[in-house]
Parts: sequence; C-alpha cells; structure tokens
Amino acid sequence: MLTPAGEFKFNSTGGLIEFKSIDSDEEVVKLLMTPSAAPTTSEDVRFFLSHQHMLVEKTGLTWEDYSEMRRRVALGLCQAYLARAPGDDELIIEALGTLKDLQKALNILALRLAQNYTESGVAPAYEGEEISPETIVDTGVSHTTNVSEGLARQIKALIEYRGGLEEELEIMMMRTAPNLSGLAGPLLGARLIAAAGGLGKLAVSPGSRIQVLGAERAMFRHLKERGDPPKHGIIFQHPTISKSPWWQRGKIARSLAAKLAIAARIDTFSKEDRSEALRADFMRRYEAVKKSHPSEPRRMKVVRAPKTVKKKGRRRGRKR
Amino acid sequence: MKETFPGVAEIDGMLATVNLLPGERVYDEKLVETGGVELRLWNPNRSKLSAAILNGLETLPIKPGSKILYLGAASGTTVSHVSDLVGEDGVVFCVEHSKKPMESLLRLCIRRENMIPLFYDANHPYRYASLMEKVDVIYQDVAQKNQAEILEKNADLYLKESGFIMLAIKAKSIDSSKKTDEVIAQEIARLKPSFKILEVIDLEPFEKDHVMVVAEKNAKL
Repeated sequence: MLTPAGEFKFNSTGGLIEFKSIDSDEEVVKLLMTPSAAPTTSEDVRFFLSHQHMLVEKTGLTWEDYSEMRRRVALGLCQAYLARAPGDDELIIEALGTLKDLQKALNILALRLAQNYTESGVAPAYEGEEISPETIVDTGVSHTTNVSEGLARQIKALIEYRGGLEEELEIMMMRTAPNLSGLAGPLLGARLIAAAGGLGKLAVSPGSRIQVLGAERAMFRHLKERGDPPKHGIIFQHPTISKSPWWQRGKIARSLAAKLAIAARIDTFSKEDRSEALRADFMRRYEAVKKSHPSEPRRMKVVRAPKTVKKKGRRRGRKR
Repeated sequence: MKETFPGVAEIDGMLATVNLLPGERVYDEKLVETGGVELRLWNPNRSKLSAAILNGLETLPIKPGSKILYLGAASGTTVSHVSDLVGEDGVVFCVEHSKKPMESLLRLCIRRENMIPLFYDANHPYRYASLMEKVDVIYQDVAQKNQAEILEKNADLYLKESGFIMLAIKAKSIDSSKKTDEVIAQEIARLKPSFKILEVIDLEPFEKDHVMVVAEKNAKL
C-alpha cells in the first residue's frame, strides 16, 4: 500500500513484509496519481489504518515527520488534480451530450428490434402495439431468435444506464446550479448551460439572450432578412410556456428568461439556494399575464416596409 | 461573553471561535478582540454547525486536539471554524469533490496547517485511504440522496470505535416530494443499525427543512 512515506507490503495475515521508501514528495504525488496506485485490498487499508503509528515507527520517521510529509503530499496531490479536473458545468454538458446520443442510439436499436420481432411472425398479438425490449426478454425468449434476444438484452441494459445517467445529471445540477434547477428544472437547466457553453457564460448573458438560446436560426433570420423575432428558444420546453396559448408565450418567456439570468448569476457567484423566492416572483408574473391576456387577440395585419437588404435566393416562408 | 463549549464563545447571542491565524479572515466574518484573544464571529446563516449550537446542541464532539473527517467541505466556511476548534494539535481532513469550491478550500488549507485537502468523491472512501488516519468525528454535509450510505462507508473505515458522527440532513435533496418529517425519520432510521442517536436538532430559523444529527458509533458486539 502506497503512503506518503513510501510503499508498504503486507502478507495475507496482515503482517508487514516489506517497506520501500520514496525519496521526494513529488515522486509520491506522481505515484498516487497513477490509477494502479489505488489500495489493493480492503484488508490492507484496514491494517494500515489500525496500525499506523507502529508502521510509521518502523520506517524510522517520527509521527510529526510523517504528518508533515502527509500534508505536503496532500497539498501537492490536490493541486495536481485541480489542474486537470474538468469544471462541474463541463461534466454536466458531457452527461447531457451522452444522454442525447444514447437516446438516438436507443431509438435506432429499438426500431430494429421491433422489426425483427414482427418479421419473425411469432408475435401477431403485439401488432400495432409498441414492443418493449422487456417484453421480449421476459416473455418471448423462446419464440425469438438469438439475434433479437441478445439485442433486447443490450437495449434493456442501455435503458437502465440511461436511467442512472439521468439521475446523476439531476444530482449534479442540484449541486452546481440549485437556483437554475429550481426554476427551470434540472434537465432544462442543463440544456441552457450546454447551449450557452458553460454556467459562467450563461451567468454573463442577458435575459434577452437566454430567451432565444437555441433559436439562433430564427433570430438571425429576423436580424438579417425579415420575419418576427423568436419569442423563445430552448426555454419553450418550460411547461409555463409550452402549455400556454400563443399570445401569452412571448410575455411569459421574457420574464422567465430574466429570472433565469438572475438564477444563473446566483449559482455562479454565491451558490445560495434562493430558487423558491425566484420561483414565487416568476409565478406572480405568470399569473398576471394569464389574467391580463385571457383571450386570443385579433391578429393585426402588419404592413411591412420592404427591407433594403438585398436578398439572395428564393424567398422562403416563415417556418411555423 | 461566556464559553459554551471548549473553544466556542458566545457574545451577545452570536457565536465565535478563537482565530487560529490572528488577523486573517476566511469569508466576510467579523473579527473581535477580547482579553488578548482574537475571535472570529460564526454566522449561523452561513454555517449549519453554528445554527445547531445556537439551537441548543448539547454534545459537541469536536474538541481541541480532535481529528475530524469532514465530508462535503465546500469552500471552507464551516471548516475554518472547525479548524479553529481543534486547534494546532487537531487535524481536519477535508473531502470535497467539486472543482470550484476546492480551489478556495485549497487556499485555506495552505494557510491553515491543521487542514488537509482531499479532492475526492466521498462515495469512494478507499481512494483517499493513503492520506488518512482514524478519526474521532465524522462531520458530513453533502446534500446527496445516498448520504446515509456515504456516511456508513466512511465511518466503517475511518471512525474510531465509539467515535461520533455529525450529520446535516437536507430533506429536500433526498426526496422533494415527501414531507420533511417523513424524510428525516427515514434517514435517521437508516443510521440506527450502526449508530446510537444522541440528538436531532432542527435548524430553523437559520435553515429551512434541515436537521443536524449527532450520534455515536455502536460498539461492536
């Protein structure tokens, strides 16, 4: 077992058989950082912990020497790990990307599985119904081919992995961005972080940018050519927007984005959880919008002066 | 001014600890000098341990000379006071897994000689075994769903026989859909097989839906 003083080797009954000292602290740090340096067995760790003073004495060091050495090594190790550790928001973006790709892959595989299953002609009962990999693994094993059975198992495993990853992402979000998660929900919060390129970047974005994050195409079409500015980007997924009628969405999106900007700033600069107050503020505004704009307005005909920018190519209608 | 626990002073309803590094502040706390000793005021809104003491905590196992394993050290607000409490003869092993808080924690550890930074995930206690020793107290404030399991694993390896645990439970980070009391009762039930529960302190009005649990490791039968 590797320790700040050097390497101890124990025999199976917990006796010490060998001690190899290591000259410099730097060397110990380097060794501790290699993955294979992890303690080998729990017996070793337990023996080391319960006989530490005796073991240190055997190396010829005093306990004071040893604890100073340990402190230096811990500081060095911490610095070295910090230098190459990804930030929390980077980990969130990575998890989100993995989740997205996983979903894509699962769709393809599930489709293939359903095809195999119906083509084999053994499952007329499932016609028209969605066939879950569980159904095949659990009930139809004897009817299906080896190919689809194996595939079904893999899909099932991937679905389990996806569940774990989602939970992990949620935990990371609650920890690194409690305000954003509280206001937008962990998943939407993570998407916003990814779209902005990091929590820090989200925190320095104005609310108006957060409002249209993910609607860049519509935004630039509006700026360069013609068309209305987008009312919402990714934040459309927030239920208060997607479940509201169209004429309220812009107003709600605007105030939600403003609150999200505040939330991102608290998350970046103080970490204090003030999501409840933020949420209450936003909900008040949300109710006010609902109340003051209860019915569909008559659409006004807007006569636009043609823009002076020379347009290239075919004129395309606005995508709705 | 009176001394509520060894190393903890109470001045006009505010707690304070004896500054290990006179003249230095860790966060935005106030420094007060009385009788030639410099005290750092201990804000109960920033530190759950301070809130617990103000709310009538009876056993404070963190004493001068204690060895502490602190899981979820964050940027070091509470840890700095724990470091004051254990003094020069004690040690605080500070485990923190996030990069940003660790950056400021490391700066603190460089200044305070009784603190040891451990940039590891508390879910995997074996990974930091090389730098550890047996401790008198494990203080945990991790706000994670499996916090009871994390505590169990660490106490099994590192806590001395009849050592103490102090556990801050945030009901919301375990299950936000259930009632606070239910969640807390369930988490305490999880501790019962291995620990003797001594105190459960509600942290209102300083923290909502939080409690501090103090318990003792059961002697092996």
